[in-house]
Amino acid sequence: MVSPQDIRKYSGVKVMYSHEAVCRAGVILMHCPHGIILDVEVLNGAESPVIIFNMMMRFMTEAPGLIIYDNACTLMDYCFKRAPGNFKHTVFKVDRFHFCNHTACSEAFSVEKWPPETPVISAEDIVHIRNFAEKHNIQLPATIRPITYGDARHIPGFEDSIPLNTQITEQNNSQLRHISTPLAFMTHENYYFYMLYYTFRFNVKRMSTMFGVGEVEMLRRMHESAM
Amino acid sequence: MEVDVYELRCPECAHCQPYDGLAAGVYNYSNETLFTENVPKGLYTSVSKQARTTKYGFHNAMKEVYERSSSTFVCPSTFNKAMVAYLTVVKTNYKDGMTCSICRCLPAKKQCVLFDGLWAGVQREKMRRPIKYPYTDIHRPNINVNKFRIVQEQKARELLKAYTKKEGLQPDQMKTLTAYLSATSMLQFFQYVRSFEAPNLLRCPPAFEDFIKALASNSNGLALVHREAMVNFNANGAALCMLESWITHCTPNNPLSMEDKDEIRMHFPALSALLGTCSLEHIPVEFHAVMVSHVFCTEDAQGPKTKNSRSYVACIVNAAPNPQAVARSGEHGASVLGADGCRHNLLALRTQLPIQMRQAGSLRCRQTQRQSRRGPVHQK
Repeated sequence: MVSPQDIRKYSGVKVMYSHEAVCRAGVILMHCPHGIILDVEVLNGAESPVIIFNMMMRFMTEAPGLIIYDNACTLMDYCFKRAPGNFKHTVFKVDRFHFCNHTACSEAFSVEKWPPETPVISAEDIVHIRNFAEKHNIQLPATIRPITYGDARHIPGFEDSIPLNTQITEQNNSQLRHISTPLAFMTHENYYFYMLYYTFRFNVKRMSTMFGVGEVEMLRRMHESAM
Repeated sequence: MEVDVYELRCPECAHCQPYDGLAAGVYNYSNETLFTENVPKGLYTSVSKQARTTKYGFHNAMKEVYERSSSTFVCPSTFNKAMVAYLTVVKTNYKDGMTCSICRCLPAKKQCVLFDGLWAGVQREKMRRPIKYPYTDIHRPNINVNKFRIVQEQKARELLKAYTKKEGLQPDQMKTLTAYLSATSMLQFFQYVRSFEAPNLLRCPPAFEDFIKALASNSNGLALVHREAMVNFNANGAALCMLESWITHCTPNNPLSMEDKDEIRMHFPALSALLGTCSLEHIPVEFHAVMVSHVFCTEDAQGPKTKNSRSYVACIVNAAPNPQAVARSGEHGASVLGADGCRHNLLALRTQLPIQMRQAGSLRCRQTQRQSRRGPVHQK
């Protein structure tokens, strides 16, 4: 019996795939540890540390203290070679999910190998946050908990802390992945508009959970603050 | 359904105020086509949720609904334009919507950001030149990224690349590179650590020269040691005093006491972990006992006894603080002999060190592992 593979093999028919139809790689999203999307950058090519570097330079006046990225080892080299002065206080880490692939990298890139009580947002920082928000009239959630590298709730003084969720990016992406199908059929301008709008609405939903209010109420608050 | 749309005209300037209808739950697209707000909201729901409906698919669904009631729906192109225009009309505060209210109150040095890519491609044939974001003026000032490149010269970058790859540089090249990089403290530190003069520049004791050299020649070692911690390691002098006291007092006949070992493990985890990163041949003999002591000290808590350096480091990091050692250092005031001839309290010294050094946890390089995995190199 002749199999379909044999027919395809001997008939001289080539299956032609349209490589042109599929397109650019996608977007890079910048998150904060609370799950808010801070910035979106559309990729014109493959994902690389260059994009991350440019995002940080354009978005932030100073480099952040902690950067978590799949390819943090390469990103660290890139950043130190380009702008070492900006990144001298920055710690680079690989998220827990991808660290198992970094077989030739230092274990210092792992979040888990560090002491679990290492603070990301410490109790002193929360006091600073409260004071800053009061001074600049910024609304904050009722409860803000310290964030540590690992689960440090068994350590005295860290009972109310929460471990850093390095998978927050993957978790958000799994929700935003639904829009990838409709976006693939849009023009470039519409792509930008829709992507931004969906990330905005995603943030509103996340913030409404943080503040303990409804999504509509959160939108209304934002409209009022914009006016 | 047919409705009448009226415009409001200003009696003074004759300016015409079009009716947008948003207050009444109506979206006025072009005075000829009006949608109820359920249409754009329904589009958002169907597109962004599990259904993954495209705009054309949603239009077809709406068209069928209208045809059932023997009325017509707009054509796909008008519908598409109307929905895009709705996004520009609807009130969206991108400034606050794309900002975390908690993290914005922190200084940049204490902020944490996470990056990840999302596959959401757009067709290549529809790609155009980059478009500015709607909130560019607020969040994304147009900054020339190249200005931030301290190493702007291509030649300097090439030299630096050769230098970091350990290809070696001629003296004149090294001089050129040093001139380029002299303005940056970070790269000076790179030079400090990476060059063979690192032991002299760090003023380390002679017994530690091999150790520091091994650290300097290790490319991943830069990631192992926190930069500031290493600089302060030298600047503060506390750790150096401690090392000197160790070298002075520790001999094979007079090894470190158990209390000292506990205190080292407790108060200088960075140093303990550093010792775990290198092979035994690079570490002074005096410290072998310290390393072994870590294994013995942690075996009770960690279960099976192991002398593998990797598990040793993991034990060090994961080991809970020993309350007995803390109490001992507090009660007896354990001290070390400093370079000035005075004895310093260990706990006091520890508090002077930066937190990065105290927490420079698991520091180990797998370069040796990688080499061993590849197997011996056969020369042709």
